[in-house]
Amino acid sequence: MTGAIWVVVERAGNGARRVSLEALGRAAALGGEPTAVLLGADAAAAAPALAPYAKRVLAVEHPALADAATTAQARVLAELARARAPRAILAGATAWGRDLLARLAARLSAGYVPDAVELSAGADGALEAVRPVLGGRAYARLAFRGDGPRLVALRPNAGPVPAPGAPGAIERVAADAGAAALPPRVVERRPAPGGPVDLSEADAIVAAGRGVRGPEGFAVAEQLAAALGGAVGASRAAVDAGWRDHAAQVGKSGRTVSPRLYVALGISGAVHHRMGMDTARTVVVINQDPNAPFFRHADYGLVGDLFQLVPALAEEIRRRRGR
Amino acid sequence: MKIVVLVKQIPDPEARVAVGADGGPAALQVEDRWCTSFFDEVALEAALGLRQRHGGEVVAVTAGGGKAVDALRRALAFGADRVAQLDDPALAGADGLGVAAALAAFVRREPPDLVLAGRQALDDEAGVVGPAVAERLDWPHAADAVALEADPAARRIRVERTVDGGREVLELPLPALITAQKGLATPRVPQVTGVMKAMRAKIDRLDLAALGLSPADVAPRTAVLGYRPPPSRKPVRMIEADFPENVRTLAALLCDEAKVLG
Repeated sequence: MTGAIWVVVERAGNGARRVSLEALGRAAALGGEPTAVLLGADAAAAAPALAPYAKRVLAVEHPALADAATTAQARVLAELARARAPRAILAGATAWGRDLLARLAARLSAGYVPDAVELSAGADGALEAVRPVLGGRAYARLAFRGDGPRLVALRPNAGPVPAPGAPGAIERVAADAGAAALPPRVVERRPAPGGPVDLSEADAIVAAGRGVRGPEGFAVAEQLAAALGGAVGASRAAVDAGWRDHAAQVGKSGRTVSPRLYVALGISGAVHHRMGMDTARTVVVINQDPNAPFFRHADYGLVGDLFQLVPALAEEIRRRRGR
Repeated sequence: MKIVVLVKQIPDPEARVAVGADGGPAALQVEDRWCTSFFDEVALEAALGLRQRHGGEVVAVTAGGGKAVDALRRALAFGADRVAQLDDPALAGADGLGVAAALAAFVRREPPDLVLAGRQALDDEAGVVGPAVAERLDWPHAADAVALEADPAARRIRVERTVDGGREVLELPLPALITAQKGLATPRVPQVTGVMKAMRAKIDRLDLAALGLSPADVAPRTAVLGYRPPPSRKPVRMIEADFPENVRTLAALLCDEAKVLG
């Protein structure tokens, strides 16, 4: 099966977010022509960094396409997709990627699977995607119907970052000026109260709950997260108590995360919490209550005083990682 | 301000879930317990707050038959002025895009200054309907709002929203669609008198024809081929050694067995 598979690249500084590279790897594995689509004022300048991961880079340069401008981005991408008829359009299942693909799907009336953990092609080349539903308690396998490109938002950490290869061709594409200056307009950006939180792509997440006893208790979570090169999350109880911003909340009414390592500190493990992290590869639970239900859903369990255990664990991990 | 709120009745997030052995499209078994999706209640509460400040009207709408109507009764118990149920046999098999097409047609008939919705429903967690309704209407949208400041006279609204890594403040012209994140408002516990009144309320129902749509307009673009249970984890390994040996053992297992310290 041939045909271009587009990946709408999410920018991170001068490069791309890792999930965008994972998606380009997935596009190549499907036997399509992996095509990176870059949007923004400096799209062409950013293109060389993406070229080793794609057969082709489409750089759509327009100042109105930056950042939160999903209205304009969806409009420009829809025009481009109608003209070039890619087989599929992928993005990372991040806040931005999901916003954009939902709008694009509506504009193109094209089938869309948000938050897929698997994407494969059948013998006839037809794409199928698998996504968790009902808080990860069942996995649904979906096929596409109707015409048009297939749209899929891929959950971060669901596949490897491909090795860079021979750089693909870079093509500059003119954007329709009519899409310029569409709202919304960004007025201000600031880090979340209590420090920046970016859980979606974190390799390791250290989450803390009631067991850390107060906002100061998060210091041990910070310490371990720093040793792991990871991010800090929180349970609903900790967020509702005002110990942490709700951007950090993992679970049903918070974020869904999928890190390689998830360490839960003083979290009992209610269903609503586990719904947000069940696809983590390795789960460690540290709790002073040996009967905490979370132990039944963990790979490794440690019972004891987390204020003693966690700093020591952080130290041991720093030593092993040689930093 | 006239505000339309999109609401959905879903299986209770703590209802029991099982996946039948045949793994087909009918294999998903969910316990018969229902509630209104949490983020939709946040959106509704935020709409009622805007009505209190700026006056106007709050209209709740849902798409679907069966239990769907209970989300509207809940909205009435909260204090919504009006509700509407979009119910048509063709909507039974619709995906998020089909539902969005029907909801957008309803919004166009009203039309409000603002549409509020939950950031995603807690059953399929798709987050498609809000942005897709906005796109169908050619309106701007802002997702994951944690604070709103409307200026109805100037026809604009300021939205503080969560983004990966922090907060962002957006300004949108009205009409616009905004999806609610936890923290935008705290859903009330409706009073018994309100609940009783809502139980007796007559609910307006509109089919696709009344919305000026045909079944083709809501035809699904995806189809569920089957379900499977989530991958299961090995039984937990409890580390029983004393401190500090237990910590060393755990670090060694994470490094050599789980290989997550690379």
